[in-house]
Formats: sequence, structure tokens, C-alpha cells
Amino acid sequence: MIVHPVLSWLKDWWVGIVETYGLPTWFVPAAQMVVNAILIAGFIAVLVLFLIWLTRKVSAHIQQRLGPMRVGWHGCVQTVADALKLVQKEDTTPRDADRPVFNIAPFLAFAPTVVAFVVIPFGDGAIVRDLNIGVLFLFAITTINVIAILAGGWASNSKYSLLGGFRSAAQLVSYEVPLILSVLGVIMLAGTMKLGAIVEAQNAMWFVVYQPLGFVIYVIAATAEVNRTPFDIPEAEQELVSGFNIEYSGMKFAMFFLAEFANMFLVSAVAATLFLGGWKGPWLPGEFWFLAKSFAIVLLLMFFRWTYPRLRVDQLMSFAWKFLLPLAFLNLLVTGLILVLM
Amino acid sequence: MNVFRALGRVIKGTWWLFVGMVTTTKHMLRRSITIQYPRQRFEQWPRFRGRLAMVPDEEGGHKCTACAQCLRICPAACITLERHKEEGVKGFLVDAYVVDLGLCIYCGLCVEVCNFGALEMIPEYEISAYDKADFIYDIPKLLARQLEPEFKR
Amino acid sequence: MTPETAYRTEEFQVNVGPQHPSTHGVFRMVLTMDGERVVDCEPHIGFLHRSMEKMAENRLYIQFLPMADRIDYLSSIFCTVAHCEAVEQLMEIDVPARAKYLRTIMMELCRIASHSIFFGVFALDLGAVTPFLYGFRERELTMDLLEMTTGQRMTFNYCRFGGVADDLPDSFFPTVEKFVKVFPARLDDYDRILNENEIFVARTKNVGTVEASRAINYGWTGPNLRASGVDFDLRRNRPYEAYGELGYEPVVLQNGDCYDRYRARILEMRSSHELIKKCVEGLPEGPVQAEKISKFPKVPAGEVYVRVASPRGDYGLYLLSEGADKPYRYKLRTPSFNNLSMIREMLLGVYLADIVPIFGSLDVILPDVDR
Repeated sequence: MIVHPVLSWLKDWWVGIVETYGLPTWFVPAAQMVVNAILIAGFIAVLVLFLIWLTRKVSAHIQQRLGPMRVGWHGCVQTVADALKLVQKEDTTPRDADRPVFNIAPFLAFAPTVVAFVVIPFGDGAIVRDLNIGVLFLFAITTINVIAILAGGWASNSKYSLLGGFRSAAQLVSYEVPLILSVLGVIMLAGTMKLGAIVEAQNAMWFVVYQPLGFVIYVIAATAEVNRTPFDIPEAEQELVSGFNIEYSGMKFAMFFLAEFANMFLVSAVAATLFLGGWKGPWLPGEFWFLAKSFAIVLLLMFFRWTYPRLRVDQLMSFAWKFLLPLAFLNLLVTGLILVLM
Repeated sequence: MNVFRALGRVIKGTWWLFVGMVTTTKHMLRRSITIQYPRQRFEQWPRFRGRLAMVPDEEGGHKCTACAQCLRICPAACITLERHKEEGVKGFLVDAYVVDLGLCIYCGLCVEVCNFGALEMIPEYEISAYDKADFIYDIPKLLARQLEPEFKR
Repeated sequence: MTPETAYRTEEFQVNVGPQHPSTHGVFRMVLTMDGERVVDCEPHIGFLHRSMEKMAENRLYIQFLPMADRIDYLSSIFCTVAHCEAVEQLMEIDVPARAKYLRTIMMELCRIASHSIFFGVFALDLGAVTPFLYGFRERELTMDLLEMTTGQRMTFNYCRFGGVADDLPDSFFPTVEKFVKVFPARLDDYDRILNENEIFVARTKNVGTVEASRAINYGWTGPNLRASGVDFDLRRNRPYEAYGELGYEPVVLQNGDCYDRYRARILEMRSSHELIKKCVEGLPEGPVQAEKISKFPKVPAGEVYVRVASPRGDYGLYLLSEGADKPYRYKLRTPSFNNLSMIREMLLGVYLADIVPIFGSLDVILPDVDR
């Protein structure tokens, strides 16, 4: 409602420029791409800054503290100060590290997250590319994250980070399965993998009403997917100290951090899109509803984070394979049966 | 039956996870119990043992008679005393009374053992310094008070 | 190639500590791991050794009093009570009833402070951050009471030979009333967050199980022993200070796993709370210090063994005096050392993630181990 008119106005403007100055026609899509890239990168940067501040504030108030209070109103620019500090810090590499892999890993963690935002519908028409395999693309691209974490853990050449990397690989591979199975129900209902079309299909009723079990499985699996408590064993502070990112410092650490928070928003946004009706909502613009729903899920994840202890690695595995997976299949079966019988 | 038991466990587990969430949410609505330290401060209890200081008498001098009881009892041996005798004066005269707060363990035994009320522990606790020499307190420093230290923003 | 050589796995060593966040101080373990499983564990202690016993033998009795606070700084008053009791028994001093009650109140407050830290740190060990802050919040309540009475927050230096340093301040009674009123509700909050929490139970139930016979063989004491099903508590079996008059029933649990060790401490906080309530109600009037005790006593020759039920277990003190103003031999039997002694046996074969709750549930404190 807000983004779409602006973008189409921009497009008209470029078309005008191209016509006036006789520029080649490919200039219009190229300019659009640049603008989209800038918009997404800027959105992620602002979003992560806000999310980190929100996490600190929510955790502080749950713990009856105040959290950051000094920098800006209620510490609202504290994260900017912290980011500046991280940029200034020395970028250390361990002596025995596998340098190329060590240097690439943080960017490998961050890049897929940015790419995944391409298919997220922020509002009516506010979507970069409404791919017809949107859901598939989303889950395919976010899985690259595992490789980044594994690479980071391996290349650091530290036993703690290695354990963290392996744990993460095992965990993400296991939780990918129930995650995708839980989403299948939605795809069956909507009959498409296009995220925009899935949102349109929820015109009458949100899919969470038809797919409550699928939603619960999705939220649990997504929590594991983004390494949040109670499934944060790859970076278990208490036993692995910090897991895969233990040897990283400065900007590279910030990249991992950025990826983690952006991922957290990403899975929440996907949950909002697939189950909670995306941008659909009365009166207010669609972008607002989309953000409100996404942040509701983000807050839920934060409350998980600050309430629950962490599972052990074997319990985590058996929970995924023995509990979530059968439930996801059951959900799929029931959905299929109902669809066929109706 | 097994299915029912498993189902019961799932419901019970979910319920208690939910109760945990409710508890943390409830705490979110409560008032913060922390204070914003350099701006706000706790009022210290009267008995609080902060740094060692000398009690000034009416003229602003100290009351020490150089009896050295505090030296005898100090577990950390952080007090040094230099004294001399003078003709016609009863007891000792104090030349120097130096406390190394870097060694002091804040036990308060010296205050307790002092028969003349010359020592006290004041509720001053922000005595960090950049230099070890700053922890060496002589008589003027022991007599001085700075209860509200300034801080830079 | 045989399958054995083709898929050969290797054991590797992980060094946990002394700067590891969940070794609660400076404890070091060299773990031999097979994947996530512990094959062997080699504990190293002694990073915090300050030679407390030798220090005691080189100092006057009164001079060691504030030092004793530093043996176990989370429950420092127990060490000073043991020190004072040893001297009092050798000198045959009668401690006034009020002083005994004051010591008991302070000990129980200190026990609550120590157990609240345990609660917070144990939850933190399992990855739950919020209970850590809650534990410290409740500790603050007891710290407040201790601070206004003794003048310090951790190293109180409150006991004296033949009594205590000072009577209660006037502000103590309203504050303790408030504390007594508010504390059970806070404990209920603890229970709600962790007690039945599926994840917490899964992480702690049947983890690090120690049966009664093994616990006794290793000399375990305190809540750890009682969680294994041994009904022994110094406060009931060998009452000292005011415990004989108050009457006390220890908390005994049966399973001896991490969960029971955690529960034992939470329940003990409740009973400590009851004890404080009883103590404040039945506080006798009178002096808080026996008459005519020298600050620098010469303790008559003799030997004595004093036991105090510290939050970690039996804190024992053997004192041999040859009639001088310094002890001839000052031997400490600290509970943490004995409780930690089983750590290797407990860790064999567990997951890496279980090391932390097992170690945490013992509630050892390293200065107490190394002294």
C-alpha cells in the first residue's frame, strides 16, 4: 500500500528519463534492481539494529532490569554505538585457522539471508520477485546457512567451535525436515508455492486456523533453525562458550550476529506470511500488518529465549525425529485426507 | 493406553512451559529493581564499612594517641605508624599514620579495638584509582571526606 | 580397507577451564572426548590455593577471623562461626542466648543467599538466563539484612569470641518482616519457571545420579548427601548454636540426581525461611557478647573439632592449641572439596552438555575447595 506506489512511481520516472535522454531500455530493470538491493540491505540493517535493541530491552524487563539507558532515549542508539565499536575492533585470525574459509564463512552466513528476503511479500505488490517456487527457494537458500556455520566452526581450528559447527549441522539438517513438512500443508491448501498467491489465498481465513498443528511445528522447527533457545546448542554459552563463532572478532563476528538476527526476523516473516495472512489486515496499510505479525512471532521467540533452558543434543535430535516428524506427517495426512474428501 | 499417557505428558509439558512464559511475562510488568548507578545511588546503612577514615576532633585534628593497638590487630598489616616520645608529654606523639588501602580488607577490627574513637569506617566506597600510590592514605587524606564523588558523563 | 580403518574415529582432548564460564571459578578439567561423549576426565584443582591453614597458624586468633570469611565467600559466616566456636570451646566461654540466636539468623540468611546464587547459576548453566537474575534479586533481600547488621555484604566479620560484634539495628525488624512475607511468593515463582519445566526436567532428571552408599563413601555432606536419600543434617543430629531449641527437620530426597540436588536446595531455602521466622519471633533478650573476653586471647592448650552445617555441607575445623595466641594446627575440612572428589567418576560417559549441570548441581565453590 505504501511501498508499491512509490516503486511504481520510481519506475515511471525512470521510463521518462530513458525516453527523454534516449538511454537503452535495459536501464529501467537495472535501476530497479539496484534500488531493490539498497532497500533490502537498508531494511535489514535497520531491522537488526532495532531487533538487538528490542532483545536487550525485552530481556531486561523480563529480568526486572532496565537494560541500556544511556545512549539516546532509553538507549535506542546503543546498538549503533556497539556496532561502531565492533567495526573499530581488531580483526583477529587464529594462527592455525584455515584462512580463506575462515574469512568467507561470515559472509556466507549473511548473504543467503539477504537473498531470501527477495521473495518475502512485505505488502501488496511490495515484493522483489514473486517467484512461482517461492517457498522452495526460501528454504533452499536459507539452508546454505548451515554450510557457513560449519565452515566457520571448522576453519577456526578450535575444538569448541568445531563441536559447535557439527552440532549446528546435525541440528539444522534434522529440523529442516519437519519445517518443510509443516509448510507443505499450507502449500496444499493454497495450491501454489508463490508467496504472494499464498497470502491472497488467506483472504477469507488465515491458514493458522486450518493448520494449527502445522503452525506449532513450524514455530518450533523455526526456533531450532535459527539457533534460538531452547535449541541454541550450536552456540551453547555454558559448555561451548560460544560455539562456532568463538574465534571471530570485530566485523566478522558482527556478520554472524547480523545473520542470526536477520534470520530470526526472516523465519518470523515467513510464519506471518504462510500462517497469519501476511499483509492482509483491515484499515491500516499492508506493510504495517506484515511487520506487526512478524514482530509478534519475533517477540514469541524472544520470550522463549528468556524463559527456557537449553535442550541437550541427543534430546534435541530425538525430539525432531521421534516427535516433530511424525506429527508433521500426521498433519500432512489429515490435511490431504480432508482436501480429498471435501 | 500408551498413546493417552504420551498425550497426557505432552499436554502437561506444554502447560508447564506455558506457565513459565506467564511467569516471565508477569515479571515484565513489574517495576525494575535496579538503579541507574552513577546517577542514582543507594543510601548506605549506617553500619556499612566503607573505607577507613580518622574521626576529626573539634579542631579538625585527629584523635590518635599512637597506642598501636590497630597495628597489632590488623590482619593485613596495612597500617604503619611512626611515633616518638617527648619530654613532659604523657604517651606518644604521632609522626605519621599511613594506611595502605590497597592492602586493607575492610574488616573493621581496627575501629573496634581503638579505645579513643580515633578511627571509623565511612560509607565511601568509590576509591578506585589509576595509581597504586593513590591508595596510600596519610592523616590529611584520612581526615578528609568526599562522600559524593563527581563523575563525568 | 576394513571398516574399522575406513571409518576410524579419534578421541580428542578438550580443555575446560580454568577460564571457562561454567566452571564457577578456576577449576580445570582435561576431558577426553569421543564425539559428544566424555571418555575420560582429569580434574585439576588448586588454582585458588591461598594456604589458609598456614595463614591461620601464623596469625592471632582474632586476626584470622576476617580471613575465615574468605574461605568460602558465598557463605562466609559459617567459617567464622566455626572459628569462634572452636576458640570458645577451648576457652570454655558461655555464649549468651541472644548471640546464639543472632548467629543462627545470620547463618540462615546467608544460607538463603548462597542457595539463591545456586538457583540462578544452575539455571544459567542449563541456558536459562532469566532465573539467574531472579536468584540475584532474592539474594539482594538477604544481603540487605546482612549488610545492615554486619556492615558488609559478603565478608561479614560478624562473629566474635563469646558472641557477635553488634546487636541488630532497629531497621532490621521491619525489613526482615517484609522479607519473611515476600520470600515464599518468590520461591513459588522459581517453582513455576523451572520445577515442572519439561526441558529442565529432561536435562536434570537421571543425570549424574549418585546413590546413597557412594555418596557416603566419598564423604559427601549437605544438600548433596540429603538429595541421595541419606537423612543426616548437623542442625538436627548435632545441634549447635540455637538449632537445638528451634527444632529442625532436614529435607531428604531419594533419587540423588541433578534434579533432586536442585530441589533439595530450593526446599532448604523454604525451611531456612521458616527457621528465620521462628528465630525472629523467639529472639531472647540479653547481651550479645560474653563478659571479659580479651581481644587477643591466649587459648588454653587442647584440641577441638567443630562442625558447622554450611550450605555446601559439613564445614569442619580441627584446632590444636598449645596455649599460645596463635593456633598450633588449624585444619579445615571443607565440604566443597569432598563433594568435588567424585567429579571424575560422575562425568565418565556423559554428554558434553551434561558436564555443566552435573558440576553445577554439586554447588562447589572453588576457594572452598582450594582454600
